[in-house]
Amino acid sequence: MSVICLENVVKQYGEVRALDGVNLTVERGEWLAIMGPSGSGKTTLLNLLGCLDVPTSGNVIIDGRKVAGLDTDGLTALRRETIGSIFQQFHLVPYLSALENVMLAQYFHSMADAAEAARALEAVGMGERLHHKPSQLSGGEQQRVCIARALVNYPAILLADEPTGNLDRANEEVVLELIRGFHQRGQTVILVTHNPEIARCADRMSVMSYGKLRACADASPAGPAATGDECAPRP
Amino acid sequence: MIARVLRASFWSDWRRKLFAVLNVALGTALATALLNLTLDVGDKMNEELRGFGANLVIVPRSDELPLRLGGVDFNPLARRGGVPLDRLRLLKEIFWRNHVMAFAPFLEERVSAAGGAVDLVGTWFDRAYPVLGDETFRTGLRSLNPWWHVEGAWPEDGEVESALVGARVAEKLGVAAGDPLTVRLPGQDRDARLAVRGVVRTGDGEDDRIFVPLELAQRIRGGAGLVDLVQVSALTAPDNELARQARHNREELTTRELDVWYCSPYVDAIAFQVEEVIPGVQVKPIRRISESEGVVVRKIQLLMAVVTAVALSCSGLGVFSLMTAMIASRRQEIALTKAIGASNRLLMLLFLGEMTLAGVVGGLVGYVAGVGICQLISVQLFASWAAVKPGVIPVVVLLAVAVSLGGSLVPVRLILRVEPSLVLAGE
Ligand SMILES: Nc1ncnc2c1ncn2[C@@H]1O[C@H](COP(=O)(O)OP(=O)(O)OP(=O)(O)O)[C@@H](O)[C@H]1O
Ligand SMILES: [Mg+2]
Repeated sequence: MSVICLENVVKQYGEVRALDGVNLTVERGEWLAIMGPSGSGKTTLLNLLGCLDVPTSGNVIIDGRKVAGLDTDGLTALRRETIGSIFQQFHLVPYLSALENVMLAQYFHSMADAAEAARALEAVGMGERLHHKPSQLSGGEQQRVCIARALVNYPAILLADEPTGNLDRANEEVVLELIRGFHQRGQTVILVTHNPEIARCADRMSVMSYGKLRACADASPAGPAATGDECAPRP
Repeated sequence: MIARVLRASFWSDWRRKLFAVLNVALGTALATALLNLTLDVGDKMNEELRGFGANLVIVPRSDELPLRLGGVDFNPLARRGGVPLDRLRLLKEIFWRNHVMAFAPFLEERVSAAGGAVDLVGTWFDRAYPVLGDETFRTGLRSLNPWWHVEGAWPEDGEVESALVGARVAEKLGVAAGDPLTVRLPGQDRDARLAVRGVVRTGDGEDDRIFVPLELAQRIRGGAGLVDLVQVSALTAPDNELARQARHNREELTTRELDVWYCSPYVDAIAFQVEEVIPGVQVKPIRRISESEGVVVRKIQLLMAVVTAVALSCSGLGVFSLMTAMIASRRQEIALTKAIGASNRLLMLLFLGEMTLAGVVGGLVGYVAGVGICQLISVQLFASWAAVKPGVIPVVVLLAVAVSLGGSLVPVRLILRVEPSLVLAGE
């Protein structure tokens, strides 16, 4: 049962065709890396997968639900229930502590639970920094808080847009390890990166170029997943 | 714990919120001041207008009225009617005794001075008049007309041959405060030498009269404790529909309406009660004042309502622009919270909740400030403290919240337009 299914998806920004007929199927528990030059449409694709945006045409099905039929509230709910996101610019709320940033995500999801939020932060090695503000944390630490925030509600899918783009080697390794741990628990990961070494950690790899997504044979042990009938939305 | 998060969010933008609170407080302060004054202005105006003389006169009932024209008694043999002086005490014993602020008896005689005729009026100037429940009560011409402009001094009631001379008489006779004034008393073959204590100018009939202590006039009249008329100054409620109905046709009122009327300080109701306790008299309201009072008060209240509405609208506009700026400056944060799962409705509720809080705080601050302003105005205009009506508090706080929310309702919809994808892309 595929958890993500895109059929001939087009996203048009005025003159710019950011996505030009993208087809993609991702199985539950898969780790997909997406590479490609700047401006090729990678972030645009992740925005669609994260229900932050809707396609101009084509079908997007996330976790069995057709995005086209949803209004803003429906998109928010779907995102809340199934998606965890981490970004290149960490995007933490500046006036809240690490713990409170994580609790905010819990609060929007269901209910805030300080103990569980603290556990999520401990899991990313931030147990000692619960009450620091983002400005008091290093880049790597901020990204770890973001990962804790993304994972605290147990999302089915983790979307990571160049999560290590602003980090040094050591922190890159830490973040990658955390993502690997998440993946090993059987969850789905979509990771956008410019770094081929990181991409190689994934089960398979695709390349974005001029708004088109192309499977890239060499990375994956499993090979590109077949596209097709599994795309039908859940009843 | 989440309360801490919400609180942190509240304080993150504290400068703008402070402005919002101040903004609401300013509007509500004005509203409170005006509301309080409006509620108070009826009483205050009354008290103020009382300064402009009596609003009731007590005269003998018409069939007992002596036939006098220009001070000449054409009916000297008829039984002289009058208002019994000793009954005046009852004015301070009726139900509305505390509304009776001052009164003075008048006894008028024509005398001649320097070859011309002039009206001599015996009255009380400022007489100690202990009454039930108020041993220090004083009454007379002076408390009846506190605004009179007197050159020199007011005469003392105890000094029988002293006088307060009207300005035109003083001019004609060429006397000033401190001069002696000789008058020929009718029926007595001697002159009275009065000491002129003061000269009064009112621009009205008083300027043609000489006021002397009542005892002197009584000596001339050979009076039996009766006076010609009594002026009374009473605090009255402005006439309303019921008061007008009662005046035109009291019989048509229901028993209940009659009770209400009787127990309200309308000028007619007070007059009615005075007639009940003093036999043989007629009490006439001096309608001119008490009627215009109602009109003036109503106009002032309308004006205040308009000013209040304008003030609150301005506050609302202020909140509008602050809210717009607040959402613009927090776009990034709003986008982020949307990206991690906050719904539009929740975010709008949070913002509106913050503005409600700002409204409550602003309302309370505004109330306190407003009471202060009200007292300032009251002291300036009426030279007395305004009565603070605590009942105004909930009204004011509700108004403040309404203003705060009203101003936020449109800008809060800007939240709907924040696209998480655009803002996260880092514009
Ligand atoms: N909101 C938008 N309005 C207009 N054009 C947009 C918008 N978002 C993206 N684009 C355009 O769509 C194309 C794809 O952009 P996108 O951000 O997906 O690239 P990317 O692959 O993520 O690049 P990078 O590696 O630099 O992050 C670009 O040409 C970009 O200018
Ligand atoms: Mg990008």
